[in-house]
Amino acid sequence: MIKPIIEMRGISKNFGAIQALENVDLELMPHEVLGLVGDNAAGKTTLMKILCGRYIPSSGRIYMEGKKLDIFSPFDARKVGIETVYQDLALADNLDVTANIFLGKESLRGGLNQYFKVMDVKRMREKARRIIEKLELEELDITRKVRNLSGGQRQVVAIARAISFNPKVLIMDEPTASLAISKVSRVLELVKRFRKENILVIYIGHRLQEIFQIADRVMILRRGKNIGTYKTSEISMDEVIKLIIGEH
Amino acid sequence: MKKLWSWFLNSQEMSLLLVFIILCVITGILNPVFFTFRNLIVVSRSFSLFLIIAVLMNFVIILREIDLSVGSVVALSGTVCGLSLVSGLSIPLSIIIGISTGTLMGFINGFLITRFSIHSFVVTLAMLYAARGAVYVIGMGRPIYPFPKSFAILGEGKFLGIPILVFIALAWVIVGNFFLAKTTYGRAVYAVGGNSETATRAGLNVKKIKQWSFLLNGLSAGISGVLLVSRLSVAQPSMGTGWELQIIAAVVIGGTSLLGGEGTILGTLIGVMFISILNNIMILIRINVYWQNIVVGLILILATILDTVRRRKQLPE
Repeated sequence: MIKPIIEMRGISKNFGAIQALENVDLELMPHEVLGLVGDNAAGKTTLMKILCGRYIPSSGRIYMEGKKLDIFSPFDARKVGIETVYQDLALADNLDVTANIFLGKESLRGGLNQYFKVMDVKRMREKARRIIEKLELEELDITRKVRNLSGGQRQVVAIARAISFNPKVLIMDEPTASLAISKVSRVLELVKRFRKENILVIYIGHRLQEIFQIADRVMILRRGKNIGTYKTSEISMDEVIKLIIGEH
Repeated sequence: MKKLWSWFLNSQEMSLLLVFIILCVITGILNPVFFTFRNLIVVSRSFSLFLIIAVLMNFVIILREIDLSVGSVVALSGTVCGLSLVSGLSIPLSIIIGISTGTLMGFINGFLITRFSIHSFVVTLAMLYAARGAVYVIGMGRPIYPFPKSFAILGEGKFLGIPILVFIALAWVIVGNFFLAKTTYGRAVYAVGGNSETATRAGLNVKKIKQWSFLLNGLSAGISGVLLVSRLSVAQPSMGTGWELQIIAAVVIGGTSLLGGEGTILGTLIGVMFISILNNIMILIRINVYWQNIVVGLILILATILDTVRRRKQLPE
């Protein structure tokens, strides 16, 4: 029996009276891209914010390779190799591309920073250049301030930051939302590349066509509950839509 | 011509420097005493004391916070140092105790702000009152003196004709610039100030960054307080009154935005030069003291308007 790399068990989250998630289980198997779908406010982003440390669950546990994980902050999550490309990108507009790519990991050793450490800006710039080139998405001036970049370029920076140190798990929250149609297929190719490089991907998306192109399995949330997880080869898009909106 | 003008407007340090030079020239014309060595020495001393604090106030404001307590902390640190001296403690020990007092006040500020999520304006305003009150309590409202003669060396002494204070301040500037521009701490300060949500998601410890910055600001006020007392050779309970506003004005004039995320040490340096010269100029051309405050207020507004204009130009299309 193949064991999952990441397990989220019994995750519930409420914000006051609002129950955003109710007893959700998630499994991320080796070598897979897991699509996470659901209507607006189904709880997809909330679930992922719990995995990446931004929220603390009201109840439930997270395991990595069988071991319980204590994730109380994004620092904890990044430390164990869980990286996130946020829906709103979460970039520092007032800093340049290089600074954004290595934000929190300026020591370039993959581990998170201690403060008061000196930065090797030259090495950071070289490494940033190489990372951007490898992505093969857009050409960027890595010394430009992020606020002066286009939406697509900002997306590239957000992705670059997430993969800069070979994460174990990559959460991508609607990565193609603000992209030109011509660029979307390139991002999907990139996700396939990640799978080959043994980075596990959780891909939140609205466009089912994208999900079915790259995901091995798709997990459906509705009103904070896990409705089910299916292999994309064993279910049709129509059935998924029905599950999302609750028609049966 | 338009391109030159736009570079000029966009390089805030350059435009500020130019205004500063123009200001000096005008003053020199109006009162040649301005350019005498003696006058410049006097200016350089108050400039140094402001600058030591301004360097760290720059960090605080880049963080999108504020510290209104520095004037009172200067007074408290100086008073504690003075009291230590008159009770017979050695000079080095008194200096350490004085600086530690400032550092402690800074720590308290940072603790209250981060632990209880109280706005820095409120916390440091409270500290402004509390610390000033403490000055009067422990000093009993009286000036404290005399101090051992050798204590005055720091504040009054010169090296190669230039006040030692200036060397201390410039060393502090160099260290401050290094921390802001070249360390992970400085990077984090910019990130947190620009968007603390982004910083949090990147794994930065926002609370720790803020705590350290307020602590260091208190430390700098402590240093300045001890040096002030050394220069005056007496600890007056009214010392440092109004300093926080001058220092904040200097930092903002130097290009650091009150909205956070922007600012350089070089800008702060020029801003403090600006404020110091301004104070001096108004004395030299004998502007009425009350008008002086109006002038500072006007300049502060102008600097903020300029900053707003510059920010608007930077917004993506």
